[in-house]
Amino acid sequence: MTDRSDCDEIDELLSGHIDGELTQGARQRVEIHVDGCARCAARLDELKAVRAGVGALPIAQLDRETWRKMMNDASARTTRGIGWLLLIGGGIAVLGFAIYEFLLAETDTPLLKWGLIAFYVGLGVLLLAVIRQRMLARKTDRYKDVEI
Amino acid sequence: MERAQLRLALEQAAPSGYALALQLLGSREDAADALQDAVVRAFGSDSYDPAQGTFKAWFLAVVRNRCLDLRRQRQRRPQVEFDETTFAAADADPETLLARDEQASLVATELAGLPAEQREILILREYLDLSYAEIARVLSVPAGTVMSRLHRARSALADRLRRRDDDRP
Ligand SMILES: [Zn+2]
Repeated sequence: MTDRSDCDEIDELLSGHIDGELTQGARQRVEIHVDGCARCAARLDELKAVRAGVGALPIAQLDRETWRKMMNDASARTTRGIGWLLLIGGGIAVLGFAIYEFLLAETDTPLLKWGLIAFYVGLGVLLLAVIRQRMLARKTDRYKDVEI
Repeated sequence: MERAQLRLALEQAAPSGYALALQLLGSREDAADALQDAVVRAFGSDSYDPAQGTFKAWFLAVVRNRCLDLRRQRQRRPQVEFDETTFAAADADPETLLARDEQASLVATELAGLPAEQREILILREYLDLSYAEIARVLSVPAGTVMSRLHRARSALADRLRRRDDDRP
């Protein structure tokens, strides 16, 4: 007959044993004890039954259609994000180059030159305002984790 | 991770994510929302990094965090959903079907009576078959505490089931 305190010590290790998460030494200790102790052997069976019972629960499955829509939606969001990034980045580069060329060009009509500069600066300010507003809206959006 | 690789990994991890979300939220609609958010996150810039362990554990941790957020937002007590349609297709023999049905609903009822932390760790280990290291990642707890937490949860469920059995005539 084995000592009661030995059983208490071994109890938690029974779970580790079921899950194959014990070191070799601990595993052997459990096996030797269980071989000689009917109480712990019964306890081991009981814990195994719990594992089997929960493992066999029929938890509802996600249907294929919902999953497909989910994947498409998520991947479309990121693709759209990359698209916007390229569009805005490219637009800024082209505009910058155009302004640079324009400022260097010789012209006899300074009024037209400064008028056009004002026009483009205005356009840029508007664009920034729109982007800022979108970013603020995104903060309250539940999909804020997506980077654009 | 490459796009095609990510899609494949998501395909494999999604059923686990949904099962966990369903247990934590108790509603199909909310579970699908949590899963959707996690999928979007997986495609985003701070996505999975192999240095963080397995993809499954990373994904389940994201799903779990979304579930906790949603639960906080909605302040709703989760109810365990029990799907009878999954029984019908699983087994043809009506007698085993009946026996399993009874046993499963008993386990489901007693599981539902446990505190959320115990229910959660039991689903992660018994139903989703995660290793202790993966469970530690999902719950963000020290790896050394998984065995004792799990053992407490198993013991609690075993106690409840034993009491049920004793009540029987
Ligand atoms: Zn013993």
